[in-house]
Amino acid sequence: MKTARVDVRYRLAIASRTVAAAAGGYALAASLAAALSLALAPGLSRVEAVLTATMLAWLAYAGAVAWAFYARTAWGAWGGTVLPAMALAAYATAPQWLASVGSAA
Amino acid sequence: MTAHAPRCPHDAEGTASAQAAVPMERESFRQAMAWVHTWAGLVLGWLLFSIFLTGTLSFFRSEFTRWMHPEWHGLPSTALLANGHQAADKALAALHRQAPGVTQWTLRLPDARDPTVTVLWRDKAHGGLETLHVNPQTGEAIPARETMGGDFFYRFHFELRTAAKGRWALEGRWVVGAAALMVLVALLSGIVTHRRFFKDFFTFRPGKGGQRAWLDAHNVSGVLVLPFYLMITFSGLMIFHTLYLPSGIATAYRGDKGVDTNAYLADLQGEKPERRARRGPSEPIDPLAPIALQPILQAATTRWEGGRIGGVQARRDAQGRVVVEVSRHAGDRLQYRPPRLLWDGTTGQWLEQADPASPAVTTYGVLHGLHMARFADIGLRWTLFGFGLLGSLMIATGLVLWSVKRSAKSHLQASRQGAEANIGKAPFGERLVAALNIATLAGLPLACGVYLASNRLIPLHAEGRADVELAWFFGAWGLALLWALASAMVRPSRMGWSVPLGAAALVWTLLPLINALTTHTHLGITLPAREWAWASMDLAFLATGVLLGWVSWRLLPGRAPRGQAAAAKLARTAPAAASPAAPCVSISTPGT
Repeated sequence: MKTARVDVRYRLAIASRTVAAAAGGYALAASLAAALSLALAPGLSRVEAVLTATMLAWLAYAGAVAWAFYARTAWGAWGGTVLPAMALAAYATAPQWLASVGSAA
Repeated sequence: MTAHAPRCPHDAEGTASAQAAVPMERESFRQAMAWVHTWAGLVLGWLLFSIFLTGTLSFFRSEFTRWMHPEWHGLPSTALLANGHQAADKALAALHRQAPGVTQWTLRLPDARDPTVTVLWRDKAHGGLETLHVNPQTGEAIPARETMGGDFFYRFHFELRTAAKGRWALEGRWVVGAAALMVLVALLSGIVTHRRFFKDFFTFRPGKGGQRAWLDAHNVSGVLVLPFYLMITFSGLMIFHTLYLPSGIATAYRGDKGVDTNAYLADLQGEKPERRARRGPSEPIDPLAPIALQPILQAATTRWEGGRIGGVQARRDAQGRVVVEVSRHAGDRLQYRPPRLLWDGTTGQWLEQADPASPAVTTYGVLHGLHMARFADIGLRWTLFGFGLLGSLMIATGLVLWSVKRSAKSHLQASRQGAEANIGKAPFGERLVAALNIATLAGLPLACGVYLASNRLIPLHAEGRADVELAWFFGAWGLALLWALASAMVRPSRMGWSVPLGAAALVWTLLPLINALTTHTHLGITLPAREWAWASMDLAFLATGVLLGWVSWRLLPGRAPRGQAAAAKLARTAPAAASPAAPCVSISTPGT
């Protein structure tokens, strides 16, 4: 019963989760900082918005790492970090994108 | 099949096999975090320890710098200095004699921790900042040995500095940032992992030996000053947020001409963007003319109602106008940076005070100030130093715990299989961890001691002297690594820990003696004269040596029958490990 052998699938899944935690977590933190800076900037001053967003983004990173290793599957680890990151990044880059479309038209 | 994280921290394999027997069930969040805590802690643990320990030493950065410049001995303390403001004029005169074409200069006035006037300057020939230490009484540059002093610990702490003039500084900062992020993850997952958070405050059972004692030591050092670790990690990440996480700036400060980082930094420091120094090394900058400082310093003192002046800077702004900036002493308040008063350097007209006060900027400033600890007086400084040592201890015990737990496991497994022959040989990974533990936990204290000794032993006018000192530091560390690899991997030896720790103890203990043989700032002179700024360093080195010697002696083969022996030498005999109650007592769940 006590075999210390670990199958390859298990190792791959752990590696996948690790990358999801590190890279996906950073993507989430960076896109959250960007989106929140943009969202808060009208209400606060720009520097206040950036600092508030950046401080919260570190906590989001820690949360993303926790999720990456708690998710039921390795795919879940990726989905839980990258999907919200993409949504936030889309929100953050939308104004630029719209501006470029507007100027081209 | 899903990749469930193992049930018990420090125990990947065991649980993977258990998964086969136990029906698939979703493990608890706490178990998953225990696993994260173990591996996040292990992977960068050695780097973390090095960053934490050098950062802890950096609380006494000025004191190390002074000790490593024995030529500064005899400079008057600030209390005896007739007028600090006059010293600024004298230092400026010395600078203009040495570098006529200077385009930017900063003076740091003498204070209780640094008795010199420090002049940082650049001119056309020197794109980077040059440093000059001036005697505040005579106004002469102090002829002193070339050394990085305490700045080396400081620079290594946040950018893994390997050379006196910056090298790989940016790369080093990224590595340190990744490590800091790892600590944040390890701390937060460590909190989740702890079921008996408050009980662990009061639990330390060294008598139980082995793994139990290491776990208790890890918990006590981890829980006791947890707020400090969270603060220091989070503030460390925030100090370099413009490097690590610039995406917020990139969206909020995007203009027609791209991202205006200069405007962000100006807002962050409460300055007007146009007053900031001209960037771009290729742009020609006119040299600065002599500036009448006394009226400015007088006015600054009046405006701050007697508050201390920390430094003065003169620079040309983006339009080429001369700006004089007087900074309040950083010890006058918690928030960093201190307030600054700006004058027009040509007309002498007061411009404004730069001191941001909005909530998020103030929060950031307080975090920055807490991390740098420039505000701390001597008592608080020692307290923070103690917290830093506890943090280093937390990382060290965590690393050793990983080893002890693993060796206990192998031992148990081997004995169950009845394969007695296997007991002596631990798996490759475990031996590597053991080697790196020795190289870092024992090697770094040795290297730091050797660095301090090199300051006294290298000939005063050696070529590239500051770098030679660093070569001694990294050379000693490299030797410790070689020894560790030899004694933990090639030919397992029970002396693995005791030898480098003993060497470190020897070096630190000998430091006061080496100092006595090479300088006039030794205990025989400084103690009778009650020059505590100097004497306390030698005494602290002696105490460090005694402490390291005690640890080395405790870890001698045969000295410590339980526990420590298992850490000192992997998997040969680990009696505590035989106790089945030991693994995962506080962190396992029923049904494992």
